[in-house]
Amino acid sequence: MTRYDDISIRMKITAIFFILVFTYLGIQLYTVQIVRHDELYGKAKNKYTAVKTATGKRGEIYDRDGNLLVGNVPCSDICADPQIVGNAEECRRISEHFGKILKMDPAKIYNRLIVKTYTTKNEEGVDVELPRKFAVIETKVDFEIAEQLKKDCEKMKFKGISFRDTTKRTYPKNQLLANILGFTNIDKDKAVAVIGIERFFNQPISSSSGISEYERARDGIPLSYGKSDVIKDVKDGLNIYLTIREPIQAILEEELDNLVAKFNPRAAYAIMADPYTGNIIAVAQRPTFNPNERTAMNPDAWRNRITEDIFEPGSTMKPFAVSGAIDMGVVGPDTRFDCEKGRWLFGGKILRDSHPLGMLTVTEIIQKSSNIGTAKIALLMGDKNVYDILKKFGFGEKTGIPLQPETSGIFRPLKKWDTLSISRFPIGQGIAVSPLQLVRAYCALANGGHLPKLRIVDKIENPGTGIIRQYPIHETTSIFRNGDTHKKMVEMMKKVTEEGGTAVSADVKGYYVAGKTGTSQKFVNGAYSHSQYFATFVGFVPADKPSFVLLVTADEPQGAHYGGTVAGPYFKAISERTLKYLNVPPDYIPEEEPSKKVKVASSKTSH
Amino acid sequence: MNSFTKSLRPPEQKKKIMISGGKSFFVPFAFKFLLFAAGFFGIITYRIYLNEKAEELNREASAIQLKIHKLNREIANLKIEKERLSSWAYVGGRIKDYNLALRPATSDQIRSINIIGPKGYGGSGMASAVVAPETVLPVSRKSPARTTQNSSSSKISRM
Repeated sequence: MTRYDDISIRMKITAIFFILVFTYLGIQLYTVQIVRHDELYGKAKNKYTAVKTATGKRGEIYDRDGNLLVGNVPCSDICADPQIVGNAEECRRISEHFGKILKMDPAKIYNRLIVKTYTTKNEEGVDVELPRKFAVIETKVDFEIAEQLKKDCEKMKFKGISFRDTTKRTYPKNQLLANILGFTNIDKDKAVAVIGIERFFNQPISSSSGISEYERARDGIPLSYGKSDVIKDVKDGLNIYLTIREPIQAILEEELDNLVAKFNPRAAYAIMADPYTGNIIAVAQRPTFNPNERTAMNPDAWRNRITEDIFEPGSTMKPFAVSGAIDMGVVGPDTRFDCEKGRWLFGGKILRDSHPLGMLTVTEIIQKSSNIGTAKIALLMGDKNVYDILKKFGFGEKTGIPLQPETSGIFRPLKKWDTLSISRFPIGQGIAVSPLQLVRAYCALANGGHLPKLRIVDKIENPGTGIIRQYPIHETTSIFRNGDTHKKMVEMMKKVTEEGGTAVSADVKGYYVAGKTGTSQKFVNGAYSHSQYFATFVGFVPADKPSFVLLVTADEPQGAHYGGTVAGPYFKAISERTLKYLNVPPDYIPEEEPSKKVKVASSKTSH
Repeated sequence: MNSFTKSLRPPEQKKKIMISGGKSFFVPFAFKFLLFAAGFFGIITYRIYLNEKAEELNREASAIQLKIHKLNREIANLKIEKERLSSWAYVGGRIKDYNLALRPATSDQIRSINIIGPKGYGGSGMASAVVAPETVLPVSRKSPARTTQNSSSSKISRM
């Protein structure tokens, strides 16, 4: 064999070798790139692609001035990967430390960390054991505690512990306005609104989660040149601004607590509204609850009594029928009526006054709250006119406030009236109203006969765009045809809190108060009870240019039952404090302090 | 026709020309190639450097974002805490606990005055405030007299 032949063979072998190698590589390349492309591409993509789910923030609820009433407090869910946390000793170390900080049983945490596998059925229905990569140690851990634990994990070199940022619905003012605000429960990480504003506005204040996909580096950081897609935008819920004013709400609730402490009623409520705008400034009821303490919550306290409950308004109804009579010109403030010494037979039934009264003017009928006098005034008006005027004051109609359910009360249509109706409805018997309806009607008395549409939500704000949707204040026409009616009514109602009236206790020093007491017997087992009453005082102050209308009612107070005795003093206390808060200048200097007579410049209030 | 061609140059000279011609081609080519390669290398290196820088900045941005997220959560937590501490239930409780001698104002302590401006503040450098026409409040509640209403250019002051 020549030298050239030898070279030729070697070259051929080398060529064959390379051909084989390249063929093999080609086949591999074909397999990887074509045959297994989807599988391998998917695997690789999963490695470097991350899907991030961001949760939006549920809308917050504020008072009129921007004080937070319902918010979201940051917290963390603490999770662990049992595959990474380590052996039994390490699990014990972690559980003991976490148990101490989280005030949990360490054994409970240990059991969650030590179980490394779980059994499940595969597609063929055979039990297979798989590694357990996720365990929840505790959910909704307070922000500060979670931050401390994060630092501890670094310091103590705990592995496999992760902190998932989340938020918790919180009510920073605790039981303040609890019935109106309502609350939410958690069901599988989703907020479920139970009652109140939270429920009524659940849809607009709910947030939606966002999903984004991005290519990430080994440490999880998105690659600057990698692809990123927003699959679904995260959306925060809308913020709600109420017409409530927190400082006044606090006053109202504090005084209502004082009433409950003194008279121990079955329930009590107070509502304050601006008669010009219909804004509800403050509203409270007892019993109530603290939405931050779920374990102590009594479902009976959840009910929204101001919209759901009805009661016979009693004498608080009298000004409506009387205002109708004055407006029609049937009577004037000085028209006299015989109040029959407290007993009057009408329609086969005796109508009584709480005290025997003789000849009284219409003003005195209001001042002393004579049932007989009011019934006689109503008789002069006639059924139709009495029905019409009460209807105009909104009785029998819902207020339309965004709280559900809301009652429309009980107010019989005219065709269902009997002989007694005209003598009983104007004195608040046989008719039932919700506390809100009564407040709305008194707003009309305070505001020249303009029946306002009550408002509790002032505006809704989109935190993302800053767009604000303002709830409008409705303009209304006056119920009264006669311009003087309102003034006459106010003058008469002022007498109620003066000497000789039924609610001297509701008089606010320095201010004229117009109002009316109501003491109504509860209708129990087909008869009026002589032991169970509703005691009410409702009025407005300063009488001539009211800053607010205020209703205070106690349901079955103990130890006393007259509206003037039970509700009057708390009307006074709430009014006094609120007027000071609002910087409302007094109408006069009280007589008992003559030395403090002062000169003041022209007044203009800011409220 | 019989033709014969012959180079007029001797073969050495011809070779010389060839050598000098090859050298003159290779050097500029090599130079150009090297220049191109260096440029290419430079661009690639610069690109890598920029990528590295971008990644570094990206990492920093991520760290800052994380910090902002953490701070936002801290702010949200503090906001809730502030709301809790500023509620009357808490403040009232503290007043009671510390037995602070605070009392609400009496009705005669609340009144408004009108300070008519802005002329009073300008020019002379002397601060002046003109009190609006005075009205005596009725002492008896039976008197229907009310304070006069003068709302023009008024500032409200609480005493």
